[in-house]
Amino acid sequence: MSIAVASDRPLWRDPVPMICLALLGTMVLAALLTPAIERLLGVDAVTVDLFGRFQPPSEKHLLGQDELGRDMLARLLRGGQVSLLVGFLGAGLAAVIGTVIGLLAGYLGGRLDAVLMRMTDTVIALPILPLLIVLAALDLGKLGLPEGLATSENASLWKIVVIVAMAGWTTTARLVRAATLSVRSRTYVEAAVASGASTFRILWRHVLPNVSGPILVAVTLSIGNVILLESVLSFLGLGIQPPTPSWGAMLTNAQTIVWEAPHLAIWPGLLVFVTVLAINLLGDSLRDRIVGV
Amino acid sequence: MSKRLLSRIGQSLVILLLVSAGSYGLIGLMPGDPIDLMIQADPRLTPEDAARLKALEGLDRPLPERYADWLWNALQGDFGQSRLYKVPVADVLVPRLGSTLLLLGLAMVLALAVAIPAGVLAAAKPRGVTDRAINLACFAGVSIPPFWLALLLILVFAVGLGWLPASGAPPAGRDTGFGDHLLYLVMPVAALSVSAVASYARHVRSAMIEAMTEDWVRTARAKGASRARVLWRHGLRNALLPVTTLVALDIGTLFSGALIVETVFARPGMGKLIYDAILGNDYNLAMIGLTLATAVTLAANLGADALYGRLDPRVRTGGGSGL
Repeated sequence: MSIAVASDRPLWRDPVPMICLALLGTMVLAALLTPAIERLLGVDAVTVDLFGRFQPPSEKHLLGQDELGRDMLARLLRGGQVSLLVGFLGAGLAAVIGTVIGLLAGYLGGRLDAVLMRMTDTVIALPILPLLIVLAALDLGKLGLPEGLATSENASLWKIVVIVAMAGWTTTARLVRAATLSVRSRTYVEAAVASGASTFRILWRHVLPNVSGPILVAVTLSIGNVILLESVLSFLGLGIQPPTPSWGAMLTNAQTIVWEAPHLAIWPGLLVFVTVLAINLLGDSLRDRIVGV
Repeated sequence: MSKRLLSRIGQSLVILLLVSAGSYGLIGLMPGDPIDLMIQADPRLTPEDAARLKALEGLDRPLPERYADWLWNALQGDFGQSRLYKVPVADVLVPRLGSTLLLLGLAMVLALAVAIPAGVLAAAKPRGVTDRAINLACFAGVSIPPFWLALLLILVFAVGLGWLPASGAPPAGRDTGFGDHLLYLVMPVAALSVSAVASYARHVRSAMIEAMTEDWVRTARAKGASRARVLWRHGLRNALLPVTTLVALDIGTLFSGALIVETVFARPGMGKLIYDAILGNDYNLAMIGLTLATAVTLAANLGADALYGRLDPRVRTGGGSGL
């Protein structure tokens, strides 16, 4: 599945991944410094100002005000916090699921491998979004979760993390399986088998460390997909619930907004686009160098 | 029909069964079953009334039993009544399915028409300037949020320039010709094909690079065929084989995209129907919609598999499909 335009230069000599890293670093920094930036500018993401609806950028509100007169810049910053958090957590969870499946399929092989890989292919081929919408629409209370947990403020965040992970593990599973297949026949694995190590120990101590490169690549690539999927679900009103801002949710009303205040429709999507593009290009450079396909 | 194809059909049926059972279980966990909604609408209903109503609708029985019932009815063509539209499910579903298939078909044709030349050009000189530019464009295509792309199109072509209608279908009740309908389809098809172009072009590129290393390509070159001829006649024809499968595998993703595009452009289709049905607690409609979407996707994959066997004689005798 070579997509990459291979490069022999070390990562830090290649301008593309470096620009991406700088961009992403800025995003993460902005997310971390959001409270400070808000204090500095004297704005926040929740104050409603009905007289300031759809106001264009001004000295106080650098990017203008939204349909409730809230500060656009502050909402974008808060939305960025959420998107990046969901991206990292979701990709992390997806990586764990994918790694376990990839390791088992690649190392144990045989019928288990066939079943697991058929499952992975199926998840890739299915129309996944409608199925995820069903999951997102679930009432956590009916699942038997304690009332406090099911309705807590962070419930929608955790729910979305689990949902995006359920769609995002396939890349990791395939990359890890392929890497495991090539590691399985190495002499150090044979030596471990000969010395009577348990399967778990071999996987954990001998195989896993040697497939960490592909895992890093898969995680990077899935962060982008996860952020994209989160924005789609939030846009459809099923992800992060208001009043918590998220880039996708900020566009939920955009169909009406495009006529009244087109500038509001630009920023949230542009930020998702730039973030996901930077992550994907970075992941591509990493794949190029680590997996070498 | 080969044994391999038969076993693939069997597998697809099992997957379809699993997906429908899974969705049935999950839909039962959504907030507000029909009785809950009735209770909300009419505060005079006592808990006893509610229990009686549930018994009447069969909602007090265990889930597997209800699923078996649903499956039995669905297999006989009885999909039940839609709660939102107050008509039998099939009556709402069939026209929407047609509308979505039209959208998907047009998007796919457009995407292939752009992606095949792009992929071949990229593969003609791997790592060259053209390849890098196409590669970057592909990454942009898969990284752009589809709903935002659709909004941008509306912003530019409907709000700004006023060239195209902002919605994805003519207003209901207006009898319009096919040409007029096409005008409404321009932006939805464009928005849907962008990510497809990106993913198809990558498939074509890697299949081309693979094909160009084959012996027959070297032979063609040695016999003095022109560069273009080698590329388009010898390379592409062989590269298209694996691309068939990959494009079929992407249909599920394309359907997900159709759901988004239909929602943004308010175009009545399967995707939007499923979305509305899930949010509107229309269980019957949501179930059939999900099952049908899955079935269409699986059928497309099966079709590609069968086609692949026809196109490539080596597969017909070969064993498993591998990866």
